[in-house]
Amino acid sequence: MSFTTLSFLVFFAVVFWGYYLIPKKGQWMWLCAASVIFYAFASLWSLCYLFGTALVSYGAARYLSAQDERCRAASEGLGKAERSALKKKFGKKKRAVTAIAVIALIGTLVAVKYTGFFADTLGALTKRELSLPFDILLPVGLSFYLFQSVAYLVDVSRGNYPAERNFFRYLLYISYFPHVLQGPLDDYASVSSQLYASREFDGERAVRGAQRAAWGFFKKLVIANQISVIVSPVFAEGGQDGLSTILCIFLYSIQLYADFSGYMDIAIGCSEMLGVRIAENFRAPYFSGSIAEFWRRWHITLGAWFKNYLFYPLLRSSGLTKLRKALKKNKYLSSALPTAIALSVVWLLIGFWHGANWSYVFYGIYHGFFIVAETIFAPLYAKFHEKFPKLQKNAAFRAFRVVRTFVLVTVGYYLFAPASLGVTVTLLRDSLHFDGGAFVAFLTTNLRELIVAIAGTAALTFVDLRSLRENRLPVGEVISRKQGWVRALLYGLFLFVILFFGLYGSGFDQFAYFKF
Amino acid sequence: MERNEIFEKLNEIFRDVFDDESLTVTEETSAADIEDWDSLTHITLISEVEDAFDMKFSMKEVVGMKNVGEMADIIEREA
Repeated sequence: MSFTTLSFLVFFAVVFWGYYLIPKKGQWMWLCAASVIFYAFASLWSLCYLFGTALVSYGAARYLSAQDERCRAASEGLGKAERSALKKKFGKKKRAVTAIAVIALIGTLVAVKYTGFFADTLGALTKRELSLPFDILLPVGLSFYLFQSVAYLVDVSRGNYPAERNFFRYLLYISYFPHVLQGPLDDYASVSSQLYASREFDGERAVRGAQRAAWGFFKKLVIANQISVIVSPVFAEGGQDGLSTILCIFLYSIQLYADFSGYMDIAIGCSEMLGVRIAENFRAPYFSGSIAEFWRRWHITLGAWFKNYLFYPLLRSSGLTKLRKALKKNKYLSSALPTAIALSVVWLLIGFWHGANWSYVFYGIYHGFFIVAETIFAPLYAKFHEKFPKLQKNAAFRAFRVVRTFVLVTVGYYLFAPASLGVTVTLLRDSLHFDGGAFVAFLTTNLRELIVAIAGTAALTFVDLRSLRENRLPVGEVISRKQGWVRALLYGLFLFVILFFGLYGSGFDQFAYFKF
Repeated sequence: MERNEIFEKLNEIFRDVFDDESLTVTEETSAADIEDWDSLTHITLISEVEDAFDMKFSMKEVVGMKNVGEMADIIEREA
């Protein structure tokens, strides 16, 4: 069940009113049942993956917490040395169980998502036909809820919080319908207590949530879907003139952002209506001054996951620690080299995470290259800014950096958009071929979609820019403070815009990140 | 080890890592107070502290410590 279908609107209306009408004690169970039904509608056979993931991580986490308790009980009254020996003994067991469970979980993802890819690659290398005798279907949302369960498990093993005792409560965390299909990757510590709490209906909160969701529908149905009509045929096989191709790549960067962040607005808005604040995933990413900053603003929860559960552990692994110690004489190298190595691994895997496809791997390498370069050249930047101290606060210099970053990110979409290296090469070749007549023809054919897309993008830019300025009320808050008839007029107008300029129905209900 | 001894040693490490001889840390000093203290330098800092005091922080402590005071608490307990 996609967010932009009529059935979702009906589903959500029932969940929303039911949530506040049933006895408070049953509210979390209501959410749990709704989430499982939502996921079953998305894909019935995938339910076994969802339950499997939940069972493995729930069971392993319970075991880890039990070990913690036993360790605590056994160390009572003991001396410092004996306590630390006991902690070591239990720590070994805990590490083993965590490792087995994480390997089982990530192993499932690798097996389901990458077996075909590995077979193809191996086949190409050995020049033999090695395709699988059957297709492995990817369960929807698998990489998102698997990552959440791994985070939970590792946090429990690190002792950040005790394991949840009630399986169905834990199931709600994993399967909560706003985040189950494509994130955000919610941190158990910040979302669980909200999920299990009981609450009263709050009109203001409901309006705030509905506004947010409506903004998401606008981004997806009006901006992203209109652009998809223009660019999809081009990314399927190329063949346009240079200017049209370059225009399409730029439009795609807006489409992807409107699609993915629009989905998040709907998820966050619906969740807010139920009184649960889930994590933000975007903060005006196209206004970043560097690629590293872009990734702190784009798909924020994925970046945080890789930082917490891969980058930090890698940097603190014995191999990189040894390297750092060996380089101790050179202060710059001892910090820059291990960091660069860890970042390279992380970015290679972030590329892989997007899909079993060489395009995504190169996409990860492309972004990783800039981020590693930033680390390596950090002393140069520092010197540069020491020489020109005023530049850092200069608005024109900031604008230059923002435009440069946007262009770099957009060029990366030559890899990302077609998801086929062959088409990427075609698109790059097309981009160099100038044909003014063909460009005018392209503009004329897509005139209606282009006008809607440009107007929508202008609105999006305005809202994003405003969100970056401190002491400015969010647009929704401004509307909420208007008089009744003004509000009614604005809401009516906005609904009209979505219904009249939006594209929906079959063929338009898929979101870009479902496939990951 | 006495608390002021720990801080003396910590000051040395902070000055070295952040390349700032005028730096003096207190119980309340946090990442918000030192401009270059981001997630990358944090890991470098942690490793230097571990070497100097011959101890190891757990991952929970690495991610969880809020200020230098908390860091000193852990050092006091472990070293």
